[in-house]
Amino acid sequence: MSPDRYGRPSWLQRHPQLIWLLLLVPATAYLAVFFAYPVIGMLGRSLWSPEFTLEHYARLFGSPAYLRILWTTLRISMIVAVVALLLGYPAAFVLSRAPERVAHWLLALVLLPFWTSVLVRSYAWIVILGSEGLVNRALQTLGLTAEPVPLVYNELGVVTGMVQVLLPYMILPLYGVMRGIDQTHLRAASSLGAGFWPSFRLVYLPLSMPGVTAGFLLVFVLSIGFFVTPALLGGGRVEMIALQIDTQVNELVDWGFGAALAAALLFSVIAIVALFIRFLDPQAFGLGAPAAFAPTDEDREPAAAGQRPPGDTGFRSGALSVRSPGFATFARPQPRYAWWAGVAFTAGVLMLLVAPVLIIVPMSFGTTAQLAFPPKGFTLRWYHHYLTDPSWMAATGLSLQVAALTSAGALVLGTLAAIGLVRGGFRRAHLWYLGILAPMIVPAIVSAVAVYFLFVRLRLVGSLWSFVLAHLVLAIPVVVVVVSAALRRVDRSLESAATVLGAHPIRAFFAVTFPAIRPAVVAALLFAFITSLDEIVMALFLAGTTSATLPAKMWESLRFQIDPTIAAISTLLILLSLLVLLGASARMPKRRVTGTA
Amino acid sequence: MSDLSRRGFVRSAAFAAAGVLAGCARGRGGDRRLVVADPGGEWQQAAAEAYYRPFREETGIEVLYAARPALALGKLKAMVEAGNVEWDLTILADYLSYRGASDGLIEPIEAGGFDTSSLIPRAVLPHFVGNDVFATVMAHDIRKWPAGGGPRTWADFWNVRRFPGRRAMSGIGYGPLEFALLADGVPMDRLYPLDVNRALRKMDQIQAHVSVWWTTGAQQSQLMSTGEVDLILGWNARLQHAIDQGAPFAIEWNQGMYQVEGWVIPKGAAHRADALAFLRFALRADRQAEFASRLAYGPVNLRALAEVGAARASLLPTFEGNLSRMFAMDARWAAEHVDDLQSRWTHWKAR
Repeated sequence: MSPDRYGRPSWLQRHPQLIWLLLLVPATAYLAVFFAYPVIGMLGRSLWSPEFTLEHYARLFGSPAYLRILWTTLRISMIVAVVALLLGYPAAFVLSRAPERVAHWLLALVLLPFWTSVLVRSYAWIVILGSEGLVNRALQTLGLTAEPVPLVYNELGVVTGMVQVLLPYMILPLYGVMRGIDQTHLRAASSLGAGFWPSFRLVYLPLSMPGVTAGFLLVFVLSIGFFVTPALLGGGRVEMIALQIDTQVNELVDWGFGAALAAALLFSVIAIVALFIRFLDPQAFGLGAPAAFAPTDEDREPAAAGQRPPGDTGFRSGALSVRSPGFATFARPQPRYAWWAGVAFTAGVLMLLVAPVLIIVPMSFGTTAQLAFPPKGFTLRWYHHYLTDPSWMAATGLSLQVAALTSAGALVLGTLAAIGLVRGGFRRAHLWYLGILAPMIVPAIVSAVAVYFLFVRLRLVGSLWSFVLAHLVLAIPVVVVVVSAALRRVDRSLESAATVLGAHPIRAFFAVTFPAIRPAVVAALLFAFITSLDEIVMALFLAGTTSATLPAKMWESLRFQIDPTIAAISTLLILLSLLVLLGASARMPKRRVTGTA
Repeated sequence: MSDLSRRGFVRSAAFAAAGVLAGCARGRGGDRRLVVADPGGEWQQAAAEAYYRPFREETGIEVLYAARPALALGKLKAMVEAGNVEWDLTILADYLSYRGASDGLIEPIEAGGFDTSSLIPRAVLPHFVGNDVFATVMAHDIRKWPAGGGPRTWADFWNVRRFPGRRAMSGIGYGPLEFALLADGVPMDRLYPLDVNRALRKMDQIQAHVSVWWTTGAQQSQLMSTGEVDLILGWNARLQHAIDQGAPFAIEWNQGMYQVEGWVIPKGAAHRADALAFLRFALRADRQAEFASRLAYGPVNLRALAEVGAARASLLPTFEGNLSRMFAMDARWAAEHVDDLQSRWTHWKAR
């Protein structure tokens, strides 16, 4: 940012906003072409078919059933997000205080379910919660109940299943933010005499708010699109709007009405998210603050201001984070029992996360051609079937490639956009943010039809790249949510200091800020990878005769019967993820050393 | 790089990396190839053995097949509107084919030269060639109601006092409206046009006793094999699958409903003539028998029943003793009224 040789301020100096704007361009342009353009065309069918009409909206608003289903969808999603927050916040807190090595393994447990298809996990819940399931059998054996307790095929089952699926999306952003919270604030609070609750409420909670926002938004918005889990675990009693849209689009071929349902959903979710940001986390994205006077971290967090010793950067960075001194530093009146209660609670949350996954492992060795627990007999037949069937192998190879390319692309585009959004301090940044979030909100079936419609015209269908291009649309928003949450937590003054001392802004970013958001970037990469690896609706539309992704192939084999091959694949993926983790943790100490040096 | 070679490159890169050469299949048959979209899974395995492979052996025409989304009309509409029709053939239930035809998504296939002499009625429609017959029937737990003591009519199914137990019914489409009318005393041959008000009033009586409204076929088998329900309304092949796997259930064919599932040619399909040749091939008794020996769907060609053997035939919907006790869904009427039916059903369910 040095003046040019005539002493005039450089172009970038004269327009400091431009660099942030430029960072936003790639992701925005991408989503404009591959998402907004086709999806707006699709949603437009609710008004033009082909001449202007309001009949679809008249039908929608004139019929209590569809409004009720829309309401159910929003209500269930809200319940799921609240429950995930209530379970995830304490768990993330305990994890962020655990010694790093332990925390890494516990995080691996949090992520373990990711490697198992959502469809398979729904069936696992039925095995656990059904009338003749494990829990009910245990209750009856213990004599606690004579009749089976209805744990599934109702709203309870739906919420349990969805929370299990979405909880990692809550815990990881929270963990990333909490790990970065400066211990000294808390020490300061307690040294000033604040007890546990006051210091939590006045200091810790506000500091962790970006994580709460990111986690809550991810879980709420992802819930909206669910329909397989509600359909299976709700016993047909919990109707989500996505299922109705699917029926309109695929069965009744009424794209106009399907689009009207989708548009109503989209706008109600955007309204809720906007309200949420405005009232609960107004600091998000410099809402309302004029760009030139965008508040710094110090202004935003009065509790934090001025209490940070100069050389304290290590505490802010998860990657560099120094061995956490543990709960001891949190508050003065040391409620030791509270810590152990927290640990027990976290253990319970982890159990909830891994139970349906662990139950799949023994079932993959059962001899019966369906998922049964306890499994009967022992066989490796399902593994043999998977590993020797070329179509399963091809699907696995394709999915892994698509996920790798998608996550890499989304990471670059999404991270750049997150930096631009957070640093730009644009007046309407939250609108931009909502725009980038839109692909997560628009029901998958609508985006799938729209994207397929575009790709089939471009003759792109059936290629590796068609899956990557489509999955990028879904993965970019995930990266933006996670990375921008972490970025908001980072103290900007250090980077400014580096710049003032002569570092190039890009260099300053990578030297000072990037290490601090590295855990979030890793989490974002993983989310993007999983988003692609588990994506089914677009994959089914884009599948050609020679290319189907793993979830598409799994979906196909689960359509007629519950084939234990699926359990074998899940087990192998879990094993693979554990091996990758082992490899990573073997390398970890080395990286730490260079990192702190 | 031209579009074609770029796609070729990407595809071969994908498959080379996966260590599989399946991607080359497209090149092998030259221009003589058909692209077929089927329901996938075990349906696809049966069709591959009964139709796809022998068709290539006999004609040299390669059949490339892929699973399509559960309800294919959305994807079909997108490819027809975009003017790039990927499929030459796909499989639809007969009422959906009426739907697709009225939306201009399906080629007419009159004058296909089909031998209809041994086919069930309405197997060949102006835009549709039947492949198999599936039935929606009831099944009950034989541990609870052994040997003939189970429900035999839909009135029995509705009779929660005489047959207490957990029940599962269809939660998709427009629900079990036909069966509600039968339970209310409407005779099988006077069902259509459906009296929806009367059907929904009858549904009111059973709603509280239904534990699960299923949405997929796999779910039906699973509800039976986990012992979740004692009584189920479901698709015969799914019920049979659970029974084959050891679920203690018996199927009751009386007052069942059968539907034809069959092939359609998407509008603008590239290989229409070869597709018609395939359809003539697929209607042959030997091919139909091969298919029905693998899946518990009834062949539309009744001569095939003789070839599958008596024991197997008795499990299929088109077996005389089963077919005569069931009624045919009025596919044309259902297709014309499905929006209204589904909307009424959705309202009833969402109350």
